[in-house]
Amino acid sequence: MSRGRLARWIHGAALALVAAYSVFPIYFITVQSLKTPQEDVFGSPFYVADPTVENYAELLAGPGTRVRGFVVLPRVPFVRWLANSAVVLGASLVVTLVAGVLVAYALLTPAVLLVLGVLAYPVAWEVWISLTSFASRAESRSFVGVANYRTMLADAFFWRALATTVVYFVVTTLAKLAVGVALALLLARPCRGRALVFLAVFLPWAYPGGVTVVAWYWMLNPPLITSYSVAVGHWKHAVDGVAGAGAYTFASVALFNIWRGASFTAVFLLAGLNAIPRELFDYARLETRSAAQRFRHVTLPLLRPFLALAVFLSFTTAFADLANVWMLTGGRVIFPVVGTYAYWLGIRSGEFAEAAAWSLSLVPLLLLALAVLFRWFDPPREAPA
Amino acid sequence: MRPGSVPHGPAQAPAGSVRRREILVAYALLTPAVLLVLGVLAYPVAWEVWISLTSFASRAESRSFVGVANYRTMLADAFFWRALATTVVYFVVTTLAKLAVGVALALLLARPCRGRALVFLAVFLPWAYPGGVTVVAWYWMLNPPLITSYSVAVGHWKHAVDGVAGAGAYTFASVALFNIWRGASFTAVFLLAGLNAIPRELFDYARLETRSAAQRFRHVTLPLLRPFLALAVFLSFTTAFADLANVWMLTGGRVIFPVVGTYAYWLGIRSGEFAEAAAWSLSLVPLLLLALAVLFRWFDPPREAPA
Repeated sequence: MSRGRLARWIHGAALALVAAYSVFPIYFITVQSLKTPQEDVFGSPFYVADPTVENYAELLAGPGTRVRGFVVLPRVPFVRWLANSAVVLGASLVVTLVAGVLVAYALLTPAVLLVLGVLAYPVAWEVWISLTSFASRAESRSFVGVANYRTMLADAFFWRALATTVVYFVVTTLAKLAVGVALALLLARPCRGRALVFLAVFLPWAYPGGVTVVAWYWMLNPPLITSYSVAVGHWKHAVDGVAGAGAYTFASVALFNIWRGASFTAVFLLAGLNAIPRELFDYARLETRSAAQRFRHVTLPLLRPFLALAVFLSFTTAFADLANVWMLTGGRVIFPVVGTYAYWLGIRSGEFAEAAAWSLSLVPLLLLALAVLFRWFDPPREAPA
Repeated sequence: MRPGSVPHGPAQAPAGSVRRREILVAYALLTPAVLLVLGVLAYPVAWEVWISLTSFASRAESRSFVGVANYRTMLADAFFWRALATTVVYFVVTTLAKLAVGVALALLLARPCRGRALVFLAVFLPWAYPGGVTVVAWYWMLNPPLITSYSVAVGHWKHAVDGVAGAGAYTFASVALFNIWRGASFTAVFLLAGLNAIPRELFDYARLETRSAAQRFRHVTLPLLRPFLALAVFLSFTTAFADLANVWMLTGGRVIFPVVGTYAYWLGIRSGEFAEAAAWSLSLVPLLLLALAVLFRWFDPPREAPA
């Protein structure tokens, strides 16, 4: 016999021994359960010569006493005990699950309270307020249903503000994306002095907006008489004369927003570009004929999630834009964006209920934008080609 | 803001206050978990510590603070020292046996062969089978309560063991055997999982680098299994020290074999000596902490500088 075969035999024998050692007590008790009283006393403990199921049948018999061999055994209500065990098992399972779920929710409580208190409560309060006559000049606060919304929708000014807001969003977003993508592509290519240019591109975003807005205000609407006031005044009258009153203000706010926002978009997209594996661009260089093709078929699809996020950020900036518009127009309602006007209504005029209705009018648009962008950001997966 | 005025930059809160606020929020979010731990773990232990310092008992007229009197009584009781010695010996014997049997079974099962799944199932059975059922088998095997054909043989054994090693030795041996039979099953399955988690290549290298299987076991298998062995020892420790079920079931609830945990139960629940029982169970805490410290050191030793 070879050494390998001997080792295998020893291993097999050891395993058999192990199995016997592990199972023997269970085998033993099973053997005893199949014995008659006579065999119990006089038989071998290791096997059963005359198996019987009378011990099991006994379990299912009714109450009373039983003489087994030399011993008088009281019968126990085995079936009921079995049922009790099942009930205990089921009940403890249910209690464990329920308690586990309750504990899980209990552990969540502070987070839920935080979210409810900080996010849900103010929004719910605003919804409620928009259905009342709450205003600083009102004598009492009463429920008026959708009256505020009705007034708002009947107001031509609202539709002008909404249109302005949407146009403001579309114009600034397109410009920000275009400028941002261009800046990102320019910065993506290594060259000398790139770090300095990067710093310069980042400055409009990193510099405090309250400071740069002063620069733009002085550039576009010099509040004192300066050497360039006349030139700027001619421009302003030309733009307002051609495109209607407020057009120059619109353009200046949009310019400031684009100047600031494109800076952030560029840095953001540059990070996105750097996250794309270089090899993809190397393959693209082999597979495409022109830089434009490469941009359209490789860079743009790969940047899609970043672009979607940039659009969403631009969206919230434009729709909730209070700071830029307010600062550049000195708080006057020259340029009615919905968000700014809601602030004007609520805080300056004390028309809390109407202001609430105005700001809530943006919610459907916000949800629509979110739905569209999520679809764009995380499109349904196509079957692998 | 007026266009002419110099605006402020974004408000910069001092870093310290932001950090403090974050810590507060973290604690607020932790609150339910902390309450749960305090309520379910700390409160009962604290209550037990407090009770152990009083005269709380079902026969006592009132409950008064008695300081360390219960501990003093316990430490002066020769029975306590016997119980403690029994407990420690019980722990050492069962743990060593469980580790030896467990490692042997795991090594046997680690080697692929036909029918291994069946043997694995058999090895797992002692642990998976309800202890209350298998204890009946062991009770019948070791202490047949009726007259059977093997009662005389077992009786001779019992008297021989008790005669040589003192009264209670046979009971001790039978409880230890049952504990080892059940525990080694779990240890084996546990260590087998540990063995399977070790990359095969290490054993292949070991085959080239060592001269014998014993050397390989000592210098490769054992060090790699160390964290699993430490955990197995700790589980064995808690089983032996808090062992109520095995001892209680095999001795029919009589105090033949005084393990500290079982006796504390006897004192508290059977005799109504709640304060004394609390002192008895708390006497295990220093040992438990010592074992934890030693095992943690073994389980996660200070890292050596790379050779």
